[in-house]
This record gives sequence, structure tokens and C-alpha cells, in this order.
Amino acid sequence: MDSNEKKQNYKKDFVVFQDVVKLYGSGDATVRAADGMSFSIDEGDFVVIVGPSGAGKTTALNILGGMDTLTSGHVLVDGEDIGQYKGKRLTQYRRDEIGFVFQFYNLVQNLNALENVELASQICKDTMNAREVLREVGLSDRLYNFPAQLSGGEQQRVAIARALAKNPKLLLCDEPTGALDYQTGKAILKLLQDTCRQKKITVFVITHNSAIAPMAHKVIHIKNGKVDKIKENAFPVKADILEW
Amino acid sequence: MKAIHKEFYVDIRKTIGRFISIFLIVALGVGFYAGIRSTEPDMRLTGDHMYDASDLMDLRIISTLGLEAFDVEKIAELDCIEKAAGAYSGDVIGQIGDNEHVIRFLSMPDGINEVTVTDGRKPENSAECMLDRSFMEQQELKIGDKLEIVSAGNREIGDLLTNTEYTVVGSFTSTQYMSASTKGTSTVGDGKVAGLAAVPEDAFALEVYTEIYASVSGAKEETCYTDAYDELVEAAADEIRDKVQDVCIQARYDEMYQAASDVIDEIVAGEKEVENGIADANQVIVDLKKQIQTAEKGIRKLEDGISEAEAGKKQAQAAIDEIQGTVDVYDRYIERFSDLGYVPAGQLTNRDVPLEQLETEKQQYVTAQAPYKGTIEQLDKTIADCRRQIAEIEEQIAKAEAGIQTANEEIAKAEDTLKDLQLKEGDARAARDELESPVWYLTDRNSIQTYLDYDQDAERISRIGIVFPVIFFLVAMLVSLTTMTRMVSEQRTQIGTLKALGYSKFSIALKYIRYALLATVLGSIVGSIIGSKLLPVVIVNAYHILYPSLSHVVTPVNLTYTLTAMGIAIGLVLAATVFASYRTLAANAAALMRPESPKAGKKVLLERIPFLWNHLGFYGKSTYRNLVRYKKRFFMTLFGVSGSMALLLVGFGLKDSTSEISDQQYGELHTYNASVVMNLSASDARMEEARTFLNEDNRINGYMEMQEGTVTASSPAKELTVYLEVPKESGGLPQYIKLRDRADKEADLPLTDDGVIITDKMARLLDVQAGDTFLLEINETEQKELKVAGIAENYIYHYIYMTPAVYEEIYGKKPEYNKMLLDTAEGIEEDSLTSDLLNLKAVNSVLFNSYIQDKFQDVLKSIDIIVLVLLISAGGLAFVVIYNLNNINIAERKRELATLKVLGFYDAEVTRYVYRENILITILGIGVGCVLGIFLHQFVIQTAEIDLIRFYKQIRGVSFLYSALLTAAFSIVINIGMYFKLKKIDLAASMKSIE
Repeated sequence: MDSNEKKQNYKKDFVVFQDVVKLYGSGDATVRAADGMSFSIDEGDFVVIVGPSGAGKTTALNILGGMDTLTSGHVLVDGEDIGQYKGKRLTQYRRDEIGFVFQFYNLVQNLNALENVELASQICKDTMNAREVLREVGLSDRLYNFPAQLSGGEQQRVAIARALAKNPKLLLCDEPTGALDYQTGKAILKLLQDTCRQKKITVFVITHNSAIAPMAHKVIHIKNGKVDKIKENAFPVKADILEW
Repeated sequence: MKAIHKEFYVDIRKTIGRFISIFLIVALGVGFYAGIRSTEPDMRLTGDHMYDASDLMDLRIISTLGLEAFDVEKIAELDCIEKAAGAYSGDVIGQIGDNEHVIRFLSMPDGINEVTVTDGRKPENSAECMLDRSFMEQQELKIGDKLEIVSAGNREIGDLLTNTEYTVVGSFTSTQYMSASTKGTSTVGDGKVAGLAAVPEDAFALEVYTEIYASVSGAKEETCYTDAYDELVEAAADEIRDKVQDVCIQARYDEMYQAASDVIDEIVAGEKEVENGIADANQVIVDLKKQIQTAEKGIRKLEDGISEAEAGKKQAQAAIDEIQGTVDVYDRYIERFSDLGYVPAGQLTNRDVPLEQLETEKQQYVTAQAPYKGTIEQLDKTIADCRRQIAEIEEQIAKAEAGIQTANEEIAKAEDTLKDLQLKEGDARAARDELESPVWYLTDRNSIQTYLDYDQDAERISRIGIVFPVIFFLVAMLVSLTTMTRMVSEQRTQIGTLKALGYSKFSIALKYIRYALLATVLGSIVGSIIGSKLLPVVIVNAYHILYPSLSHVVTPVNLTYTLTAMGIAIGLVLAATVFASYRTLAANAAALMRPESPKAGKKVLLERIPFLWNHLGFYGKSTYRNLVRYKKRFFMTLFGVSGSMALLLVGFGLKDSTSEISDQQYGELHTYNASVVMNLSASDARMEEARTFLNEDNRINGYMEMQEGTVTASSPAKELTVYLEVPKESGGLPQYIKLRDRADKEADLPLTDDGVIITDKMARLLDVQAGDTFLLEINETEQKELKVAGIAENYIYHYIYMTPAVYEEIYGKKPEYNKMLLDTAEGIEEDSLTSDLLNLKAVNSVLFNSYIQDKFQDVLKSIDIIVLVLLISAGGLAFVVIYNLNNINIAERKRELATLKVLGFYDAEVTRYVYRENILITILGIGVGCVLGIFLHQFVIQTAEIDLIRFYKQIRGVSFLYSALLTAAFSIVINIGMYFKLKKIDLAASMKSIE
């Protein structure tokens, strides 16, 4: 499958950042976490955001994920300016449009794999079957295991399944392999890439490991709160042949 | 070690919420314990101060014949007596405005039983009085009002008081009459003393003191209600009994005997006088009669004289008549021969006789008549004289006869008087013969009802004070346990680091111990100070409703209780701390450096019931698993909430139990409406009058006669003072008193000659069952065995019921029915019936059960105070545990909650997620609290109940409801407060690595 074929029925400029500015603090202590970021992403893209620590990757992801508000600029998702959302509207956006994958999985320890997925699916309208999603991430025989009984990779799969179960428009992953070993990390990346292709979900992955950049449709380099450069891969590399 | 010190204080600052949790729960526990335990001694001390300040008597002496200055003197002479003073008192019906009240008049002896003037001034003359403050307030009276005495019961007002109208010049309180509602019973009016009037001594017209008050040397230095005090006073009472009583009684008896003899002598003297009068009168009669006789003799003599004179007159007349014949002859001759002038011879003589000669001769004869005429005249005079004399004498006789009449009348009158006097003499002699030695009654302060009530109130509070702190201490331990567990696990890495640096286990543990210790000690100090300063004041002040004259509360910090409580708290908290930290401390440094593996979620029991489990949302599932996972927290909160629930339930339950006592006793068991105490010395006629009244008055449906007395019953287990009730006809008993089994309320226990029926609490205290026997004291030396035929439900006091036959068998005499139980009609005016009854000479006193029930309402008020204290404590308890639980939950699950927020959970949903647990624990807690509360309530009423009363054991349903609602309300209020804390959780917290 290639990107050109894909783009025929996918929306262009599905996600647009226009001069996004985010300031923390005030006066002399003001930190410009995002200092006029602009980029545009098409639907179904696998996007990797790379950059050094404190460059503003997470800020960008937080704003895109509706976890943070912006100071100025516009963020358009599927034509809606979510940068203007506040309070409950913002929560609702998170709830219905966003799937989030954390570095430390953030599973609820008290719920087993299936229930952790249901946790997400219970609150959305248009959801996928939790068992089905878990089967898709390869955990059909671990449904009733609690997080503590699962390996890191398995936990992350549950987390991904939880994010996917909501049928989100965007899947945002914050260092999804940061706590995993090499092989497991690769497997997770492959899962994310496959998900992106098969479910036509736009995936954002934050990483400080630029070695995974080749698997993305778009690689956004961020530096000092600005977009340093955007690199497009016409033919993204499959995750399982990446080496780092 | 310096750095570790510094770190210690930083830790406290950073975990101030936790620190406060321990601090608060310890303060609550210690405060409650020290406070309530201190209340008893504080109440006693307060009472003691108050009694001492008013010089409340230690002993009171009353005598059946009154008391005199001599008695006062004798008692005061004793070394053990500091002061003795005679006093007067008496009950009257007084009218103020339109209302009549029973007023007890009291004299104000100097330096003993001092009254406190609360308004106005003391009365200065015998027409002024002070009234007690609560009466003034209840009746809205003011200074200047007039109190008019309407009646003094059976005696004349003038025999008791010198005046009939008194001006109110002030109000007062008295420690002898502390209760606002219960001032005593009376034999006048409706039988209930409504108000007290303090007057100067000279307002009383009594000849003897009605009582003597005495204070015992050294008793002031002792605290009342203590054994030391009681012993001192008892010793003084014994001394009075041994050294003074007999002397005074003899003196008084002699005096009374003398007085009675004087009366007799006086009567006898009177009799003699009357008798003398009668004798005199008789003499007069005799004399007069003699006079009459003499007079009559005189009359007879005079009449003889008259007859004699009459005879003389007749003789004289005859003589005159005879001479007149001769004269007539001469006249005939003279007339016949007047023509001739001479009488031819032959006629008279042989010669002629001239008429002149004849005339002359005739004249001689006429002249010879004159003396006879004179005699007749003389005799007529004599007769007339005699007649006059007779009339005179007859007048004298009439007079004498009148005199006799008068004298007879006098005698009759005197004889009547004499008869009277003789009767009087008989009475007086009988009275003197019946004169008994006066009996002295020595009573101490225990005869003052409020003195006893107050002590019992103090004891009740104290007993409850033993029970409740247990809950607080347990919760304190659980709070410390969870808090310290959390703290140790949070600082796991740090502990590992310190260990790696070479700090010993002990020095690391010391930090946590110090942390807990500091919170505990601070909590103990603050708690015990606030508790022992505040609680007694709150409780005692609340008792003001019952005892308006209670003065300022004395609340020394009671070191024993404070230190005990502090010791318990420290011990428990330290144990919890050590328990919480030992496992972590035991682990090696390397293991501690790794994050603690999260506690695995576990399958809970409920999961094995798929039907239920599958219906739960993830909220539910998570909640149940959480509860199981964090057991310490769960139990802490559960125990706290259920403790809170239980406390409330106990509070409301106590109220139920107490209010039910009188409802059950007077509504279900003692169904008679009033009891009338009869005057056994009243005459049969008077008794009959009373019975007739009871039979005929339509306000009375029926009555039953019985004998009531106080006796001592004993078994090896206990000795009790109980009422002995002997109903005249046991068949009629159920209309007035229901004897029934507690278990089977429908079955009446029959009272037969086979044995006696005793009440249940008495059976419990004596430890006897139906069929067992116990001992009844017949007199000081003799006890008899009684067989228990049945045990009857009862709540107030102890009773033995027996038939007259059993009574006679035991005592060897017939019962004297001194009491009548009345079944009155609905809706009658009790006051007017009471006064009608008291107007009967055979009736001593009347008591309506409604009055006793009213008195019980006062007890309920004191329970209200306890309920309030429990309410506050329950609130505090619920607050601490739920606050602590939320605090820990939120701190520990910050990341989880932030994750949920990232996943798009609304604030309300996140809150619900957390609160579900609280709600569930609250519900569970309420459930467990119900059970705990029921047991605690049972325990409390068993410890708190006094021997004389058996509490009703059941709690009303509505009390469960109130308690549950209040517990839920506490939980809700605290949870609302936590909502804002939850809202503040930052989404970025989800990004943080596991600590």
C-alpha cells in the first residue's frame, strides 16, 4: 500500500497548526513553550514529532490532544478550530476524537485488560468492541489479566487498544516505546503503524529517538518551540525493518 | 543527624494533611476520653463548691414532735458538729394574682442552707418574702407582687404563719432545692410544691422548730459524694444518735408529758370548781327550803291568831248581843209605855217604875256594851295585821322558790360543764397515755432529691465516658496505620537511599515514630485541654436546664485521665507506626531503590457471581477491587463511618430507651392513674367517707386498696431496698397493675398464695429465677425466705407483690391498706381531683402518674445533651476518616485520575469514580454501624442504667433513619469539600513516571 493511493479518499489538511503560541508563566519568567508552530497533516498520516527535550514536542501534543489550551494561533482538526475549545467542550473533544498512549501505559491497576479497554469504550458513542480490539493488538488470551500480570509491551498494547476502542480521529502517542526494550518497542511501533494503515487513523508519535523517523509519512522536527523542518517520506519504511 | 532533623520538619510541612489527620483523631479520642471522664469529678467538684458556698447542711434532723432550742443547743455542743440551727418550714396554698400554688415556706437560718439572692433583697420583716427564681420565672412574677395565703391544709393559717399576706421583695436560689421542676411533694393542695418562699423566722407562728440543720466539722474540706465525706457525716450522725438523741427525746417527752399533765390538771381544777359551784347551789336550795318552812310555820301561827281573834270577836259580839237584848227590852218598855211615862206596877215590879229610871238603867246597859265593841275593834286590827304578815311571808316564800329554781338551773348547767370537762379529761388522759416518745429522723444530704439526682447524672456521664473513647482510639489506630503506611511507601526510595548511606534501621524508623509521636502528643495535649476544659462545661452548663442554681463550673485538668488517654493514644499510634514501617525497613537498600511493584488487582468474591459482576460498570468493578486491595484504608473508613453511625444510634437510642421507660411503665404496666396515700390513724368514719367519695365520684372509675411499704430483700448476690405491694384483692390487680412476663406480653402472671411475684430487674440483681427463693428482712434480727412464683416486666423501681394471705403468714399480722390506686376517667382535671381528695381527712397525699411522667421529661433533657455530644463526636469521627481516606486516595491515585481526565472523563465522572468508594463505604459503614450501634447501645444502657431503673432495650426505627441520614450527611459534606481538590488535578500528572 502506498501513500498516494491512500490519499485519494482521505481529507487533506486534516490537522492544521497555524502560528500556535503557548506561553507559560508571566513577565520575566515567561516560557514560550510553543512559539509560532505551523504545520499541516493529512488524514491517515503517520506523523513522528522529534526534537530535543524541552523543545515543545509535548506542548504541541498536549494542545492537539485537548489537554492544554493555547495562547494564540489556531489548531484545526477536521475543520474544527479546537484551539478555541475550553472546559467541558475540550473534555468532550478528548473523549470523542482523541486516543492517547502514554509512556508509562497508565492502565488502571484495578481493572483487567478487558476492563481497561472498556473503561474507554464505555464513555464514547461510536466505539469498537473491546474484545475485538484486544484481539487485534494480539492479546485475545490475556483479556482477564491485570496490568501487574502483564509485561511492559503487553501493557502498552492494552493502552493502545484502549485508545483505539474509542474510534478516535487522532491517535497521540507520547514516547510509547520509552519504557520498553528494543524488540518490544519495535513491535509496538509496528502495531501503531499497522493501525494507522488499516484503520485510517491519523497517528502522532512523539519521540526523541529520530531513528524511527523513516517509518512516518511526515516527520516534524521541533526546536525551541518552533517547527524546525518538516520532512515527508513518500514511502515510509515498515516498522519491523527499522534499526536503531 | 542534623539533615534528617531538618528533613523531618519539611516532611511535616509537606504532609500537613496527614499530620493533621493523626493529630485530629488523637485529639478527638483523648479529648473525648479525658473530657467525659473528667466530667464526673468536675460535676462533683462543682457541686461541692456550690454546696460549700451555700453552707448546705450535712445533716437534717426532724422529729415527730418538733424540735426545740434545747435540741439545737445539745447538737451544737457536740465536737463533731460545727454548727446547728433550727429552722421552720411549712406548706401552704398561696395565691398570686388569680393563681393558686402550693408554696413551701422556709425560714432562713443563719450560716446554714444559705439561699442566694438573685434579684431584689432579703425580706426584712415578717410580711415580706423572697420566692425561688425558677418559680418566679415560670409564673412570670415580679418583685412587688403580693402573695396571699389561702390555706395551710389541715391546720389554721395562724398556727403556721403570722401573716396572711406577703410582699415579694426578691428572688433566690437554694442548693437544697436545685431542681427547677421538682421541689418536693406536699400534703396540701395538689400535693406538689410549686414554689418556695423564704421568710424571716418571725413570719412563722410555730412553737417548735420543724427541723434542725447541722454542718459537720471538717465536712467542708471533704468533697461531697466521696466515701470520705459520707463516712465523716455518718460518724457525726452516729454521735448525735448516741449522745444527744435520747436525751433530747426524753426531755421532749417529759416536757410533752408535763404539758399534757398540766392540761389534765387544769381540767381537773376546772371540774372541781364546777363541782363546788354545784355544792354551793345545793346548799342555797337547802337554806331556802328551810326559810320557806319557817315562813310557813309563821303563817300558820298567824292564822291561829286570826282564828283566836275571830273567836274573841264572836264572844264579844255575843256579849254585846246579850246586852243588846236587855237594852231592847228596855226600849220596848220605854216605847210601850212612853205615853204613860211610867210602867205600871205589876208589870215589872209591884210598883210603878218611871221611864226615866228605865232610861237610866238602859243607858247603863248600853254603856256596858262599849268595852265589847272596843275588843272587837282591837281584834279586827289584830286580824288585819296577821293577814299582812302572811302576805309578806308568802312573798318571801315565792322569792325563795325562785331562788331554788335558779339554783337548780345552775346545777344542771354545771353538770353539763362537768360532763364536758370529764370527757375532756378522759381525752387528755388518753392523749397523755398515748403520748409516745418523739422519733428523730436523721437524714443527710442524700435526702435531698436533687443532690442524689445530680450525683447520678454525673455517674451516668462517666460510665458512658468509658465506652465511647474505645471507638475513637481504635479509629485513631487505624488512621495512623493507613497514614503511616502510605507515608512509608511514598518514601520508599528515600528510605533505600538512607539505608544505602548507612543509616540504621532504627534511626530511619525513628523519623516515622517521631512523626507519629509528635502528632499524637500534640493531639493528646490539645485534645485533653480542650476536652477536659470544654466538655464538662458544655455538659454541666446544659444541666442548667435541670439545675438552675448550678454555679460556675470547676474544671481542673485531670492529670490521671489526661495521662491515661495520652498513654493509650501513644501506645496505639506507635504500634500502628511500627507495624506500618517494619516490612519496608526490613527490605534491603537495593530492593527499596526499585519502585514498589504496584499492588496487583485481584479477583474479588463478587466476580465469581458473573450475573452480578457483569452488570457492574467499570466504576463498580474498580470500586470493589479497590476496597479489597486497600484493606487497611477500607477498615479504617468503615470503622470510622460505622463508629460515627453507631455513636449517633447510641445517642438517639439512649433517648428512645429513656423515653420508653416511662411510656412502658405508666402506659403499659402501671395503668392506674393516681395513688392516694391514706392516713391510717384516721377514724373508721373518715375512712368510710373517703371510700364513699371514691365510689361515688364520677371522675373515678375504680380504686384498689393495697398496702405499700419499703422492705429490704437480699440474696447472696445483692441487697436491695424494694417496695412491697400487697393488693387487697389480687383478682382486681390487672385493672391497675399489669404483671406480665417480658417474653410473653399477653400472659398475665397470676398472683397467688403460692409465692410472690418480683420485678425483672430485681430478679436480675438478686440473681434469682422463678422457683428460687430470696430473703426478706422482717425486722432487724429476722429474715424470712420467700419463694419467687413469677418475674414481672417492670422499668422503674423494684417491687415484690404478694397476697394478703402470704403477708399474714410472713409478718404474723394483717396488712394495713395504706394506699389506694385509682383508675380515673379520661380527661379529668387532675388538680381539682387532687384537692378534692386532699380535703378528705383520711387522705394524706395524692400522686398522679402523669406527674412522674413529667418528671421523666427532665431526665430526657439531660439525655439530649449526651445526644448532642455524641453528634459532635460522630461528626468529628466521620470527618477525620473520610478526609483521611480521600486525602490518601487522591494523593495516591493522582496519575490514575489524571489519566481518566485525559481519556475524556468529565469532572463529575472522575468524582463519581472516586466517590463511589466513599459512598459504598458510607453505606456499608451505616450497615455495620447499625449492628455496632445496637450492641453499643445495649452495652451503654446496661452500664449507664442505675439499679432502680431498667432501660427499655429497643431503638426506634426512626432513630436508625436519623442516624443513617446524619452519617450520610457527614460523608456528603466532606466529600463535597474534596470535590474541589479533585477538580484541581492537573492532566499533566498523567505524564509523570511512577514515583
